[in-house]
Amino acid sequence: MQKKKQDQQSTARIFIRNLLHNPSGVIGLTIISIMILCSVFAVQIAGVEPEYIDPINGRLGPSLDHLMGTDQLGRDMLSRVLSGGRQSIYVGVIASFLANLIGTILGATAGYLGGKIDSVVMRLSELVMTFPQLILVLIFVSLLGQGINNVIIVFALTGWMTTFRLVRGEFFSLREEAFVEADRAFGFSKPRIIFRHILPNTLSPIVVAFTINIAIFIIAEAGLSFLGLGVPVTTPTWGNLLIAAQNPVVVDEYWWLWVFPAMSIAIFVLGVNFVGDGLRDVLDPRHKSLIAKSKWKVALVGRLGSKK
Amino acid sequence: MAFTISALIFFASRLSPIDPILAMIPPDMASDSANLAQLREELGLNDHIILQYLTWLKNIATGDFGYSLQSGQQISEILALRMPATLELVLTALILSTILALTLGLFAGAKKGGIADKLSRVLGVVGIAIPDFFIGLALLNVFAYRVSWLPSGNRVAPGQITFWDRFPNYILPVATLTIAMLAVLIRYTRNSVLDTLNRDFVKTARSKGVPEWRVLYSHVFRNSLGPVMVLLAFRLPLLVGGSILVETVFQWPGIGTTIIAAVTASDYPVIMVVSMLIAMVILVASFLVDIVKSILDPRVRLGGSN
Amino acid sequence: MNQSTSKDLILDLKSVNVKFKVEDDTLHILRDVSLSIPRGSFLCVVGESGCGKSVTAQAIMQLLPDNGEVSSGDIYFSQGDQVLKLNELEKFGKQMRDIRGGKIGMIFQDTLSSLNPAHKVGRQVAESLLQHFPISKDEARTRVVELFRKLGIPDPERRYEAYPHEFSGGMRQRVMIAIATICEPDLVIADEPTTALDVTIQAQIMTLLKDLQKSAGKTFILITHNMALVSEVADHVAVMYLGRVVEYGAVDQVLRDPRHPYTKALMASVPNLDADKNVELQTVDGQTPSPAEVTVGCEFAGRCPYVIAACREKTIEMTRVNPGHDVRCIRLDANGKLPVLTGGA
Repeated sequence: MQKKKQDQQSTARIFIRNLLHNPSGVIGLTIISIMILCSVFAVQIAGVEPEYIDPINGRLGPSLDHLMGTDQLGRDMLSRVLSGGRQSIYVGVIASFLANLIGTILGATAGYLGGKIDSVVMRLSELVMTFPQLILVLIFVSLLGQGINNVIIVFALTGWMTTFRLVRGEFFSLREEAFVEADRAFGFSKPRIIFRHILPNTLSPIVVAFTINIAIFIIAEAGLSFLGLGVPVTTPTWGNLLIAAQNPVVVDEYWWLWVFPAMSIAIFVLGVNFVGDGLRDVLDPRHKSLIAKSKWKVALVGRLGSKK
Repeated sequence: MAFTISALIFFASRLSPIDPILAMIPPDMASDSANLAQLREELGLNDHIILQYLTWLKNIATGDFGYSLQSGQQISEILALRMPATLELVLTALILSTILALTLGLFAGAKKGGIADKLSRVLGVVGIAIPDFFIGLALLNVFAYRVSWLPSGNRVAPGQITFWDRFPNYILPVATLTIAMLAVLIRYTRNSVLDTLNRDFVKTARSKGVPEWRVLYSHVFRNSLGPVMVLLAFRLPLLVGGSILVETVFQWPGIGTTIIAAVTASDYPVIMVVSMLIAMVILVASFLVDIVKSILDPRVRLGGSN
Repeated sequence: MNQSTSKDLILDLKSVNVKFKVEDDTLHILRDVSLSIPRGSFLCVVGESGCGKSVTAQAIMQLLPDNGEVSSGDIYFSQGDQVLKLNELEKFGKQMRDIRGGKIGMIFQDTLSSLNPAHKVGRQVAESLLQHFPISKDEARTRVVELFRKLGIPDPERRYEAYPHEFSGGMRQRVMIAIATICEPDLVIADEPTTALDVTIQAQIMTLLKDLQKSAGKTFILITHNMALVSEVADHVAVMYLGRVVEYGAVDQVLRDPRHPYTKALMASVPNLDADKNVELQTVDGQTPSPAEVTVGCEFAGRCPYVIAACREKTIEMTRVNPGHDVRCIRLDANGKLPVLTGGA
């Protein structure tokens, strides 16, 4: 508990400084920032619009003119991969935000109130979790139709359970804490206790879940689009670019058409995971902490040295 | 649980803005409303929705899965044809990846910084970042096209009669699914082993003078398995999901490709039955995992009673 | 072999230092710990949590966590005619393993976590026996059941088949004792064996341990922070503070006539039934500092009412105040007494 309070006192600056001192956090942040910048300035970097068609120069391998080659219509792959990142990252971030929002609200409510509400929501989450997400997504897509916003909604609706469980767990343990008892004694309203007092204490798992969900959704978008059921093909996303690989000839001979988009996904997701690991290290007092190092070490030695 | 899923699946499918009947007739026939109405009546699409649900449920329970709107084939026939193909893939990958992950994870956890540990950490980080189907595509490119050691897909090619004839067809898809599954599983096993190694009873075992391999095998491994089993249950849906992509990559005639085709064509009866089936398989699987868990942990077996 | 190690010392620690690596830093957890333990004695090691009591036990058993190691000093263990340097044996080698469980038994504090939840208790006890003796499983079982009965575990045949979670804390501690003693080791180290138990059960367990020691002539090391226990069972006491032994002597010497300021404070904090109710219990002021903080001089200086500048200047050596009674303090006068404090300390 004491650790939690100290966490709260620590300012955002300490947090950022700690993150910048965390190797995986720094690597991850660097990767992500570079890739986001590249996708924002896709056209400037590639020098060509992603939709510029040049059929004579179709399916050219990587060269100095076209660093990632061209597709069957002669469109520059570098430009398409970079601008495809824009959509993929957008989908990942927004969907993850929404999923976390749903998960947090449900988790906070269920965790604090417990009882019937809790068991109903818990059942619901089990239900969604039992089901293969991809199939769930497919069903939703077949109902809602294709479109970038539908993809986001579908991801949010099928991806909130991790956050929900984390937040619910935290609330379960926190609602018995002394400061919550005190809040109740002061007669604060339930929403106020839940969202103003307890929620800030559960921020770290939420933040970690947020980053991890981004990674999951970007991969899911790629899979869905690869199957031709995600974002409409007219919008280039990393997943849509991969559709080309449905054709065995492309897999065999025009490797640049699918290797580059797939590598972009892998590198970006790797970056997000690194940031996630870094955040976990910085935010979770059980791993490492914001508290002065020496105190933490004593706690550790105490644990190693004498049993409890 | 099963009923809730069935109800959800059914009513969700009926919420669709797309009229299933339009998906199965040529556009020029859609203007013939009399024809349409008759078809609707025949397919039972005019009945009250609750009645439709109950009829559907009754039919499913009696093994009558209905007909595909798309091909007019009996769904049970489609399943009989396609289900084994998917099960072969998923089960083999499940078994392989579990064995591999447990072995590698145990060694990785037991000797931090050793070869197994490094290997599993790289696998854990990279494996999570790479989409399943990219692994498939890469394997395909290298082993099927570059060096032509293995076939590029299809479960059975003409002339392949015995199992050993068909065996090469399995290698790439199974490998893809296994690798895709492996990353998380190894990472988790390793952490679980590390956690267990820090538990006090390991120290007790060592204080008895038991050799390290025995400590690992008899004390650490068994107690690490529980959490891994839970994860396995949670990963199963993902494995089934992954098989959809892998089947597409390798043109594998399984449930995955079936459901993709069904979704593309809004073939609701097929979507509904297949979803239902997958849900059931996963429910059964998680039940099995519970049993395995109770064998591993006597506290669960006795329901935590004293 | 080292000349100073006499055969009647079963265990002899000579300025043992243990260091832990935590992240980039090295923490000095045990500082020059020297303890000589005569065969057949009952030594109590006392001190606050975090003072290095348990680390001492782990160092003897060579069961330190991966990030800890004996950086200097020697641990001699006499076994029959031989005297072995435990710290030079390979950690998980055959020789060390034969000693662990076979020659030195260890009893742990938290019995629920120290017993494997997935194995039957009988099997966990038998495992030790089978490891050290070439006997059949049936024989092992008979011996375990026999020991269970001797240790007061009711219905031992049936309890053999039970799992740890089906036992009460006291019964689990008896199982733990069975594990540590089934191979008839010469030395038993008990790391806070009764801390987690009810007072009445504590007494039962302590009686059991004391009986074991007396009847089998075993040597016991009991690690505890319970001073009341010490007076009942121990014949020697070592008081530890922040990785150092600050006072060592026979139980009467240390408990009745404590010389180190820390021991004095510790004794003053023990409730005494005979004491005048109007006299307040004393507490030791301040908090235990972190091992990372103190670098030079006496570790207790920060909390000591007798502290002078010289205390913080260099490492304090042990002084012999009486035969067999050593104290690590420079404030003692020629008679080995602390100066009388003037005014409210």
